[in-house]
Amino acid sequence: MAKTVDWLKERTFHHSAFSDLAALVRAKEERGLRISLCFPTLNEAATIAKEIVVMRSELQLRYPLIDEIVVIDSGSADATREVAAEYGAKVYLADEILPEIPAYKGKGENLWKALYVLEGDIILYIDADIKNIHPRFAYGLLGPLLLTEGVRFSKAFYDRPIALDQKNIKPTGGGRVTELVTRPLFSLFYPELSQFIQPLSGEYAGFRDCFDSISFPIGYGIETSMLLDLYERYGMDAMAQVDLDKRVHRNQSTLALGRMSFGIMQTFLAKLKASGAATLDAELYDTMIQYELEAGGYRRRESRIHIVERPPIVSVPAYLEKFPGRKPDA
Amino acid sequence: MANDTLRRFSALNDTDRTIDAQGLRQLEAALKADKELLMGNIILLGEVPSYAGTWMSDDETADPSYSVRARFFAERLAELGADECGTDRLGNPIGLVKGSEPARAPILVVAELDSLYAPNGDIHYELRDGNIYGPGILDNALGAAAALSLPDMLKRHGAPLRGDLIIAGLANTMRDAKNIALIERFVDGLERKPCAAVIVKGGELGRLNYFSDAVIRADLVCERREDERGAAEDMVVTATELVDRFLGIRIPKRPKSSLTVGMIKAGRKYGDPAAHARIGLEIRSLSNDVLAELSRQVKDIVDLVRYEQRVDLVYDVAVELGAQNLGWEHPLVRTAVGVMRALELEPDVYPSVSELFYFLDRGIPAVTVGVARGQDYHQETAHASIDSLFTGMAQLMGLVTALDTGGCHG
Repeated sequence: MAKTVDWLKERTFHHSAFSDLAALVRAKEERGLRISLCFPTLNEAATIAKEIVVMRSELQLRYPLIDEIVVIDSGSADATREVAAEYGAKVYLADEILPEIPAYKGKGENLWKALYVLEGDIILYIDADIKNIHPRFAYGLLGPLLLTEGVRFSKAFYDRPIALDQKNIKPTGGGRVTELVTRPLFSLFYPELSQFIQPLSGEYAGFRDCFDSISFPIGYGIETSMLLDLYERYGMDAMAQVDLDKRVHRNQSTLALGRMSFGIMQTFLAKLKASGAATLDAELYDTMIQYELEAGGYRRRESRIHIVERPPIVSVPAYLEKFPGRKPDA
Repeated sequence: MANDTLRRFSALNDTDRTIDAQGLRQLEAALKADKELLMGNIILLGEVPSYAGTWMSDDETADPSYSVRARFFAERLAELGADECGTDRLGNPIGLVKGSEPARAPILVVAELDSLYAPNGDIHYELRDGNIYGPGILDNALGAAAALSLPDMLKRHGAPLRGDLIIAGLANTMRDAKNIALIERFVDGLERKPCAAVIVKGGELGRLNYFSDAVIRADLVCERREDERGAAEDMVVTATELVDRFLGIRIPKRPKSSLTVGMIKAGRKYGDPAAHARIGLEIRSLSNDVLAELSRQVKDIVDLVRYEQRVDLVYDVAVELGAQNLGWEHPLVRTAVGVMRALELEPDVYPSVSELFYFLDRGIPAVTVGVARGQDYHQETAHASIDSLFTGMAQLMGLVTALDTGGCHG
């Protein structure tokens, strides 16, 4: 396992290693790169304004590190889009991007469609529900891409407290799906990937080709699928992870995490089967069955969770038209 | 455009001492156009814990009075363009923006760093309904953030300064009443006497304090004497007796004066007579003589009750400040009023205590101003109107510029 130790040592960073913003801007400009920051949103009016203000203030107005801030919205019922536009973000409704293609709902859909509207050579995805947003969330992830030779993709990890309500923060916890589902699966089939401290974190950055040449499950499996594909295409050395310290986000119920786990396992098994790493003769069901205690009895709750996967966007003609330098893999 | 605006504003102000109202309104609009810059500073500073303390050491765990906010303030000042940055001997972060004429007396802009309401745990600000929400924002994260923003904002929108501008964050002033003495030590420790001091508070926009009440803040500690015959048993009763007698003191309406019992703490259990009681008392007056007379009467009552009830009573003065008044006609006050009116702010004039006294007492012209309108000052739901911030920041920049170009130098 010597290789594992090396990767952890050489590809794990702390955000503070990249806090010299002027150096990052210089590196970006010397290489002639453009950087896009994308927030996928669904009803994030409570947090999106602060996220944009902090990023725009520090990483656009003070240091021209990020060239555009873009919100891709799934159709929020609250004022997410209006608020984001007021603070200077470019705002798109996911359904209105590539309208000739039938639309789906989901974070993966937003991330995939974002590739069509984002202009950057480097793309940075940050979830829009972070309560303690700080510029480190962006420069920490961009740092390895700009300053470390060979790194093409970087992923966040945290000490993750959960906001239980307006006042109370639970200091430990989070990452339950990681520890109970993803890491065991990685350990079984892709032990190297188990070195990602938080493989499901929603914040990552990479060069455009990392994202436009892989498929995107539209639902829960996006982060797992992305790691598997990037691992296969580029190997561990092209990937890095960055400690962004604390991230405060909304808590999710165990039932919701159960559905997330179902989606991740679906995606993982499908990838496994496609790669030939394992065979699976039985057909899998697509319904997550859960039980809730209600009025002295148990209520059965069924959630149908389909695997819908967007193909690499580089195979979409409209994308190639917009980015003629890109071409589908042979 | 904004640079030209404030340059015109300064030039005009220098020659005929009138305030260029149009220039200030344009500055306000320019600040609003770059709203993220000021709001970013407010959020980043406000979310840094404000546990009272200073910045004396790099080792956060070594010093119980360490303040991460003080350190943030110093580092951020350097990032935002202060030419020099460091701390005074008390650990207060101080930045210097150099002017072109270093021989001139500097202008001092000062803001308390701590927040009076500092909840346990993390602080998360929110932007909604046209407001910034965050505990401690109005007292005094916002005031500190406005002061902190000056080097950057002056560079972006202002004219070059002729004199030096000193920006200081006052740490550790809200831990308890006695910490107000740290402000005195800060003022006495200034290496250069400023020509004017502007004290910045988060709220309320429009406030203008240029005179201070004489004030005494005192703790009265009542202790039961054990094993003494005839001694009062319950300090709640003793405290009540004291308060009753204080309420019998005649308070003159002119000069305006007041006596307030703001705190009482006593007892442990429902059924046990209290062995200790503590009363927090404030006496204020516009007249030093009246304050002295009221203080004498309070002490008489304390002596009387001490002997009559056979209890140990300690009259512990935490703060004693005299009345000081810069005067309505002072150029600093006139300049501040001019800037406010140019921004269509009606000056809200009332006496202040704390920092202002120490500056005025040392012959340093000083005023206190606020930079935002807000509500729920010392609560979890404290919030400030975002629109008002830009008026407040324009006011502060306008005042500094006007002082630099004339108002400060008579």
